[in-house]
Amino acid sequence: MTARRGRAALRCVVFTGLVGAAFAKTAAAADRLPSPWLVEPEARVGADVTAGSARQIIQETLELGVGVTARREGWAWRGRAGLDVEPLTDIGPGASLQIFRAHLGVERDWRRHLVTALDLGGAVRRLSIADEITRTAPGITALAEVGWRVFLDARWSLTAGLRSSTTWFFPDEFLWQEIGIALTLGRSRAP
Amino acid sequence: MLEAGAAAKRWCWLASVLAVGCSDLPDDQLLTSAHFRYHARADAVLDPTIMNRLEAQRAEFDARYAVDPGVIDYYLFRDAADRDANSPCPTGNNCTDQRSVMSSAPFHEHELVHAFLNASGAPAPVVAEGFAQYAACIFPHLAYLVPPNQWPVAVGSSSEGPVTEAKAYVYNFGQRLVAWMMAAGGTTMVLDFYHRSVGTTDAALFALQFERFWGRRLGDVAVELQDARYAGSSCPCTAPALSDDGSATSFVTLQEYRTVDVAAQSRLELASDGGQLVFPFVCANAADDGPILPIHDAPRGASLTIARVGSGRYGVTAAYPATGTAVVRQSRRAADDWTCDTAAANPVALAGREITAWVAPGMKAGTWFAFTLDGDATLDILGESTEVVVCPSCAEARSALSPCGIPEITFGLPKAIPVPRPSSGTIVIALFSHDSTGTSLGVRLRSAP
Repeated sequence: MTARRGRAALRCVVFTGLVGAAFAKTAAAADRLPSPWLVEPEARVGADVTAGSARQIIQETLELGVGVTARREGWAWRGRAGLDVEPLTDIGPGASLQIFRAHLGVERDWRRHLVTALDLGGAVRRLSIADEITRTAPGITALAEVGWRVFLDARWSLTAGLRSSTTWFFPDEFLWQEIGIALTLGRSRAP
Repeated sequence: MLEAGAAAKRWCWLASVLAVGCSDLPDDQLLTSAHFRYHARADAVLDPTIMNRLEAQRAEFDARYAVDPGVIDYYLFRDAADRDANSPCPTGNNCTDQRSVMSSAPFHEHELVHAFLNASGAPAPVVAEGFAQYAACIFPHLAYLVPPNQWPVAVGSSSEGPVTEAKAYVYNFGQRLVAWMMAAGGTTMVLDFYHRSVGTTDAALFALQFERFWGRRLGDVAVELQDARYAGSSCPCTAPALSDDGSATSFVTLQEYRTVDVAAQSRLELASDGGQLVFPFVCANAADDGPILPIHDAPRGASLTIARVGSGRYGVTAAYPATGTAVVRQSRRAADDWTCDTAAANPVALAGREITAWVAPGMKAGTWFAFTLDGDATLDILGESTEVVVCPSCAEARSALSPCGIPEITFGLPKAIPVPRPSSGTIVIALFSHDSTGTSLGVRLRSAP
C-alpha cells in the first residue's frame, strides 16, 4: 500500500467514524424532540451508473450519503437535507475523483411504502491526478428519487430507491448524469 | 470554433434571431453546390469558382478522414468589424457554430475543418483546435514548442478571445497532441477520441479522460511532444500537380494548393511573380514536419523558393498576401551535390526578390546555397532546427573556426539579421540542422530596406 493510499484509507475511516457518530447523536436527539415535529436522520449507500458525457470519464460510482428529514406528525410530506459524496479512487493512473453534493428537497409518502423525492443543491467536483494537478469545479445539482420503504420496527426504516441526478458544473459546462439504486437506513416512524 | 465563453453572445444572437425573425448574417448573395451554401453581402464580389475549391477541400478531407458533415453554410462577412458586430463569434475571431462557418476571409481552411468535424463530436478546445491546425494543406502550421510543464494551461484554456500565451498553447500543444495521437493510434482512434472527448476546459478532467483512453499520462506525453515529428500539419496531397513543362500554374492564394512529385533528390525552384510567397511542404508522413510560413510579412514583389528535396510527393502552397492568384513556375533538376563550391559556381541573383532557401527533412549533410547581392540584405531563419552559416566565400567558410558566423541562430529571433554585401558581391549560405529531429530547414533572404 502506498503512502497516498494509506492516507486515503485513513481519511475514509475517519470520515466514516465521524459520520457514524453524527448519525447516532442525531438519532438520539431526534428521539428527545417533542412532537409534533419529527426530525429523523438517515444514511445511505448507493451505486450509480453514469450517463452522457460522464460515461466518458467513469461508468460506475459508489455513493455515500447522510441526511435528515423533518415532518410534522401525520403529514405525508417531509423536508429533507443531505450530504452525499462519491469517492472514486484509482480511476486512472494515480487519479482520484470526488463529487460532493449538498441538497435540500422534499419527499412524500404514498400509501405508506412508496416514496418520491426531489432535491436541489450545490456540488463540488474535485479531481486529482497524482501530484501533478488538482482541479475543483462547483456545480448545481438536481435529484429525483422513487423508493419503496419498509419499516423494520417501530423506529427504523429501510428504503430501496431508484435515483437519478444531473449535476451541471458550470466552469466547463459539464453535465454529470447518473442513475442508480440506493439503500437508505432511516430513523423513521411509520406515517 | 465557438465555445462556452461565447455562450452569452451566442444566446443574445439567438434571441435576436428569434425576436426579430431575421439576423444580420450575410445572405444577400447565395452560391450553392452539393455540400455548401455560400452566403455573402450584396456588395461582395464573388467568384463562383470558389464553390469548386470548397468542394475540392471537402472531398479531400472526406477521403482522408471519412466524415460526413452534411451541408455547410459559409457566411462571408464584409470585414472583421462586420463579423464582430453581426455574428456570434467572439470578438476578433472567425468561428464555426455547428455547420456554419462565419469568417471575414472568403475561404478559411481552419474553420472549415471545424465544420467538417461538427458531426464527429464536441471535444475539448485543445483537441478541436489541434485537429483544425493539424489537418491543413492550404495553410499548414508549424506548431511551436510548448514547455511540457505547461500542459495544464494548454488543455485548460479557452481558444477564444485575444491572442495570449495560453491561447497559443491551446493551438500549438493541441496540434502536436493530435499528431501524437495519429502516430499512436491512427485516424480511427483519433476520431473515436474526438467523439468521446468531453468539451471541458478542466485540465484534470481532460487529462483523466486522455489517460483512460490512451493509457498514457498526459504529463509524459507532453514531454514527447517536443519531438519535431509532431510539429507539422498533415496533408493528403491529392491536389493537382504543378505544371512541369516550364509553363506557369495558377492557383488562388489560401484557397488551394498544388503538388509536385519528385523522383530523386533534386533542386526545385518555385518562382512567383504575383507577390505571394510559395512554399513546398512535406506530404507523406507530414506529421514529421511542416512547412514554415512567414505569415506576418508580405513580400515586396517577386519571390523565389529554392528547395533541396528528396524523392516523394510535396505540396506547394502560396502564403501571404492572402488575396490574389499565385502564378508559379517550377524548374527542377536532379541534384545530389550541395557543396559550397558547387553552389558558389552558380549563384542566384537576389535582384530585388525575396528568396527562400528550404531543405526538406532528412537531408543529412549541410546544404549550401550562393546568392549574388546588389546591396545589403537581411536574413530570417525559418526552421526550428535551422543552423546557418553565412560567409563571403567558400574559402572563408572552410578556414574559419567559427566561420563568418551571424550573432544568433535562434529560430524566429532575431528577425531580419543584417547581411552586409561583401566586396565580391556573393555570399554563400549553409543550412545545417542543429539537432537530430530531422525537421526542415529554411532561411529567407531579401534586400535590406
